[in-house]
Amino acid sequence: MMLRRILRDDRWKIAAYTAVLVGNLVATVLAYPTFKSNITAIVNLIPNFAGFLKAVLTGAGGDKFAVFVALNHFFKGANVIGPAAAIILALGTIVREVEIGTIGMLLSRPISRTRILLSFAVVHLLELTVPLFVVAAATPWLCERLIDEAVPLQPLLFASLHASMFIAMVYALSLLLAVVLVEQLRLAAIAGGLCIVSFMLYFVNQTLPWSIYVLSSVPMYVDLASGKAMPWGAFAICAGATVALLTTAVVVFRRKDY
Amino acid sequence: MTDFAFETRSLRKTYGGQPALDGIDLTLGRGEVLGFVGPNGAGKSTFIKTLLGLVLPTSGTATVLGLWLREDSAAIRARIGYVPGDLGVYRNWTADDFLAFCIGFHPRGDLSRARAMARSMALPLGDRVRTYSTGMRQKLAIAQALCVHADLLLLDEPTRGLDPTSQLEFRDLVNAARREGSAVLLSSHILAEIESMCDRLVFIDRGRLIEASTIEALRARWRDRLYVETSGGDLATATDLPPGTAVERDGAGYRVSFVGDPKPVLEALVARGLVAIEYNRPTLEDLYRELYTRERER
Repeated sequence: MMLRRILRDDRWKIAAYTAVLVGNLVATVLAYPTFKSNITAIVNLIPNFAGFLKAVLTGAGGDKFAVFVALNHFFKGANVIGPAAAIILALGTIVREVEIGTIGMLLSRPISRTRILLSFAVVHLLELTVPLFVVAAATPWLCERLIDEAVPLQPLLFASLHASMFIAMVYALSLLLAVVLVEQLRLAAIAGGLCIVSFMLYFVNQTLPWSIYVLSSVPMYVDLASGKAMPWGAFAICAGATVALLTTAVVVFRRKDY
Repeated sequence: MTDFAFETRSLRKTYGGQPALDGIDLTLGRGEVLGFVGPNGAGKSTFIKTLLGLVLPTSGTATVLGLWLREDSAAIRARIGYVPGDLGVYRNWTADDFLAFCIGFHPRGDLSRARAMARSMALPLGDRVRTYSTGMRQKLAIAQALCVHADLLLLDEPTRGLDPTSQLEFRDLVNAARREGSAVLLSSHILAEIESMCDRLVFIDRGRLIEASTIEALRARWRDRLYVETSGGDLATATDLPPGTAVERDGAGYRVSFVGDPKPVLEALVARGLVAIEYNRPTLEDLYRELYTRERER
């Protein structure tokens, strides 16, 4: 009952999320030929590029196209679109029920609070991550069809796995806020603000360590696209934070009066 | 199996140190209808929400349908029908979606019965709930609560916004549920509704029970009131009336109030040349006013 209801409520949101992911990928792929023909000019234009980016642009860091796709689709795309979708989905959970006054009806059903919250969490995490994998799986086919370039699938799937865990962490934080707060607007402002500020901090060397995006960073996706190993350390931090935040959300939800 | 639909012992709930429920000891027998009366903020809704597990008690114990509230909350809710005073709805859903969702969780829920009940209350089930008036939403809440074969009905101002005909229909529906064995806790500000439906009354104020009794037992303690006109001198200064009889002048006659057997009072009035008499049966409103005036003066 609960799962059906969540899926029903989210169907358009997930369609839009998937469409934006696909749109971002298509734009990335279509932009590549122009980018490729202007690489030298770009490198000369900005002489102080970080070493790893220079390596990417000049082809010394591995498969140029794969890195280009990974950076655009995962760092720029999934890292921005994913957290935004995570916050939007979390907005539709407990905080919304409280705001529209349906929380009493929901909690008076014979279902435990833990089950209610975990139903939201499981369905939403699947809704956030499955499209990411599906789009990644379709990427080689799309690249070949659109610009006749080849891109290996395995690095894309690993990149999807890592991006998924990062998005799950943002979702878990948003869900905790959805349990604690009573206004959707506040949740959107706090979680959205955190992601935007964090993204800005990432692009300044001095503030970079304070950004949550160090857990889903440019070098990680460059390495993944170049065939190197998964950044398991960052992955474990995201996974641990996700579990801790979800557990806290459940504990708070079970103890709260409505 | 316990004979009580619920039993609370020293149930207490505080918010920031302020008691919303202050040591409530209360029982409701199976098949009984208990009226819950009190001013706004007295703690009625908090008590009902506590039984549902929406509000967690600060201290005290409660069993509902023989199950411990803290341990078996979900199992308890499977046997409860609940009508909130202010029904929040998913605005984009149709009424039928809403009924299906609410009843789908209940192991004994009967959706076809709920649909039939909603139709009998003239609710267009295919319409979105956002187009419903307050009264129509309340009818929807009643339909979902009464079609889960509940052993206990918790009704928190269930007739808010209902027209008089629907209020009467509601009473019939609750009486039918009661005949099927449901116990009912009815919280309402409509005292006539409470008086006509309930076996027993509980008055609550600032989280404390201030009175709990049957209507008949309460009535026996109320002062009966008469309006009389006599021809035998000033009744207000009379000394031959039974002890405990109070007399106030009111226009051409007197208001006489007394407790207990009316016979000696009537005999004294006849002896004083009674020419007109009017009996004012005390109502629940009189008792409510008296109780809460006394309580506020404490």
